[in-house]
Amino acid sequence: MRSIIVTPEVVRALAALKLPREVLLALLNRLRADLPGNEAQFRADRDPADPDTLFRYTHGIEVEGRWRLFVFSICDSISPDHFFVEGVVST
Amino acid sequence: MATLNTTSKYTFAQVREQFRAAVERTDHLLPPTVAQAMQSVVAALEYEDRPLIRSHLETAIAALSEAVGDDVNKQLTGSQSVRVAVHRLTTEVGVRPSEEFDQVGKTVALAIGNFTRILTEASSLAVRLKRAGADAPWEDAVRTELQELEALRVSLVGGWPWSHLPLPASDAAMLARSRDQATRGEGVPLDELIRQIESEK
Repeated sequence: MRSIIVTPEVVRALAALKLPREVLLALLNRLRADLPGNEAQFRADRDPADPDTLFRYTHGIEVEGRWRLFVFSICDSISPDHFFVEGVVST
Repeated sequence: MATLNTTSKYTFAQVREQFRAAVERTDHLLPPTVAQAMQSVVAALEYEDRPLIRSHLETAIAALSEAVGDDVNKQLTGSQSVRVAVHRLTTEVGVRPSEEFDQVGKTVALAIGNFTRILTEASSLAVRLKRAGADAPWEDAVRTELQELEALRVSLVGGWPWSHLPLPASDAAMLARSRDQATRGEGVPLDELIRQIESEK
């Protein structure tokens, strides 16, 4: 099973979103729970920004009374033992 | 207070027969307390005893109000349960845009629509009951719940992440910087990042 690595750039981007702590934890815990064991399903959704190396993991969660959708760009080509979370954008 | 229209063009006997027929048609549909009260009104009509008729009418309306109140409280409980469940889903579980969650969104929207319709009718009924002199102690709770449902409809159902909606585009500059970092092997394991955030106060 590949381990999931979050780049410093994404760590900074997540902090800049200023999400409530419990929302941020829910989001990251969901990523941690969803990806292992379902890799084929998620890797099938290639990121149009770089479909050769990135796939998308998308998750919607309520933040202060409204939906926000988060899209993580995850690299599956650098290392066979790791997924690198290289981008995050949100609505 | 309930009133009898003494200037009606109908005779007392006609009113009595119409009332009796109405009671017979609806007797099996009414809660027992209401049905019993309505039968008492029919009996009072037989005697053409206006004070007794008025008294039994008031009793019938009060019984109706109580019976309606029981049903309204059940609907309020159901509506609140749906809102709590939706809140849990959206904050603790979240959704991933897909046909499966589209169906969840449609189900939530349908439930909210149904409760809104039922409670709107209850709100109208409260006005009519109060006009007839009865209490409707659940009126404020119904009004509050309707506001909660509307807020939920606008914020969550209205903005549901349907699978057909376009996703936000990735940030190319962020990806380029991250790729450099990943290539150098820089980064924090997700488990460790979660532990760090959990330990922050």
